[in-house]
Amino acid sequence: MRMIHAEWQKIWSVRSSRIYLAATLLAGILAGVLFSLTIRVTQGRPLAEFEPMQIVSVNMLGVDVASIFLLLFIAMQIGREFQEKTIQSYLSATPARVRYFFAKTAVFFLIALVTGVVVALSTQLSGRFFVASVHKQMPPSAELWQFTAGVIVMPVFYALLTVCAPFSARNTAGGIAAPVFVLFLPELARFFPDMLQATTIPALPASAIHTLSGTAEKGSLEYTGVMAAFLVLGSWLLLSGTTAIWKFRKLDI
Amino acid sequence: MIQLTSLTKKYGGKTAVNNVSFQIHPGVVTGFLGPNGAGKSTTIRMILNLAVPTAGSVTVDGRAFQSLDRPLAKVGAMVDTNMIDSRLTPEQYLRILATAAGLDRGRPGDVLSRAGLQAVAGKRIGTFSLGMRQRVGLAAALIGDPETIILDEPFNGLDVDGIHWLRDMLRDLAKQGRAVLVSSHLLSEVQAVADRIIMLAQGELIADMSMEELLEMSLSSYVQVQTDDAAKLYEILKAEGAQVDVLQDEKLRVRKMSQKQIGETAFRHGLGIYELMTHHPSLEQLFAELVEGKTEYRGSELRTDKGRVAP
Repeated sequence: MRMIHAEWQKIWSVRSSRIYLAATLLAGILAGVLFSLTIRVTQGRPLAEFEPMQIVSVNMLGVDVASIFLLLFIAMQIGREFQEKTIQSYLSATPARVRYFFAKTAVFFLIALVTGVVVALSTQLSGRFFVASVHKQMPPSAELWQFTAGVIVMPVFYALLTVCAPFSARNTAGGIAAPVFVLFLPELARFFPDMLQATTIPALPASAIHTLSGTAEKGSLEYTGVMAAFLVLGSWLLLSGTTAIWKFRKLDI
Repeated sequence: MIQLTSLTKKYGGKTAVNNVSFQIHPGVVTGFLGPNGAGKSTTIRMILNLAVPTAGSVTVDGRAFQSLDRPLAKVGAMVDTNMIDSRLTPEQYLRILATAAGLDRGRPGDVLSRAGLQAVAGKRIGTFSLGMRQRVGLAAALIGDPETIILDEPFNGLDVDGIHWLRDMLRDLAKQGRAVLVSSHLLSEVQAVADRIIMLAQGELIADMSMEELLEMSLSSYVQVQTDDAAKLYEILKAEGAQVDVLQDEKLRVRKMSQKQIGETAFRHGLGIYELMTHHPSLEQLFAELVEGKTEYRGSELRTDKGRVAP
């Protein structure tokens, strides 16, 4: 617990980190609003022509923006400890490396969860406002809340994945590249032959998140079912975490 | 007590530390010396579990450093002060260490005061000079009130006052019964504080002894004697096993015999003594003797010809 507290202090002691995290929240919320306001330009149709759930989901793209901000923040925070070797001064004081890894994971999990919840709720609210502004009926409550819950999984999952990446790569670039690669895997998978797509797409984190948020339609390649979705996300984190811990424990700092 | 046993570190085919064993003794300041690439920093990093030994082990009170319940109470280390997060203030940095180690909340204030950093406790470390950073590193090493203090090049960047302050502090820590290991390339600074010397060259341990033992062992240690009958004393001392050289002014240079023994021998034979002076080499001389032929990064010698450097 005290190591988690120390990691917490490490982040909040630095002014630029505090500003960055506040900017992450603001960017996520404003991006949602901006996407709605500019939809006529970007999609070529006015907002009023979209389904209510589509209007809300456009706003909630702000969570994706916040996730990318967070991903960069986490990779920079951990990567710079390895690159500038400041981790040596901390490990001299707290040499239990596995606990050090989990303390960092816990802190970034909490930050990602809070960021996800705040941005998701804010963008859901702004989405409702835009739905009301075009005089449409609100989407069904169950659908809306499932979508919101599923969307919150995204920053949390990618934050945890990003924690593992710089521990394996030992630099910021690797810490950014690995989760971004995973983020864009679905785009890559679309180039695969159909048979390969059928086996790879359900195993991707994006499919799991879309299943949880209800955006993956039943019967589609992306849809896995809720339990399988959690299993897919858990497997990715287990694999990344095990690799990160193994490298962190065994190699010189 | 820190115990290194047959510690070896290899990087690919290169051996950085080879089968090194020693203890860091409590109550003394131990100077840890060696030329560049000798393996000092690697050894310190292995003690702190920052580098994993290829073979051998390091134990702190019989346990691995990383398995200690309160590591900062056992070992406080300053490895490289460039490795302190420059965005933090000393107060923030020490508070983070104190929190991680479960120390008393007042502890950062205590060590800040001891390191003379109260006035700059709230300023960013990134704005500090090297000497000030060294003080922050020392404060961090002391924060857990450790039994052993390991300092890598602590004199770097310190001004004269800082050097005096550090010397006094190291002596004071040793007096309190703590083990102090000081790695430095400033041999004169180590000589001023160290009771014991550990030397590495090309990754191998070449000396682990008290300063007195080292001085006695040195070929550069001798007693200079001036007597009323140099020839007679020469024969007597030679017969008693001393190594004696006659200098130009009829003085004798005696090795392998102490000042007291020479004085007593001369007295027994009724010889008058006008001068009896022990000469101890500087640590630089000792260092050169010990690492002769063991220096890895020695520059090639330049031949001089009438003041001009020959190709």
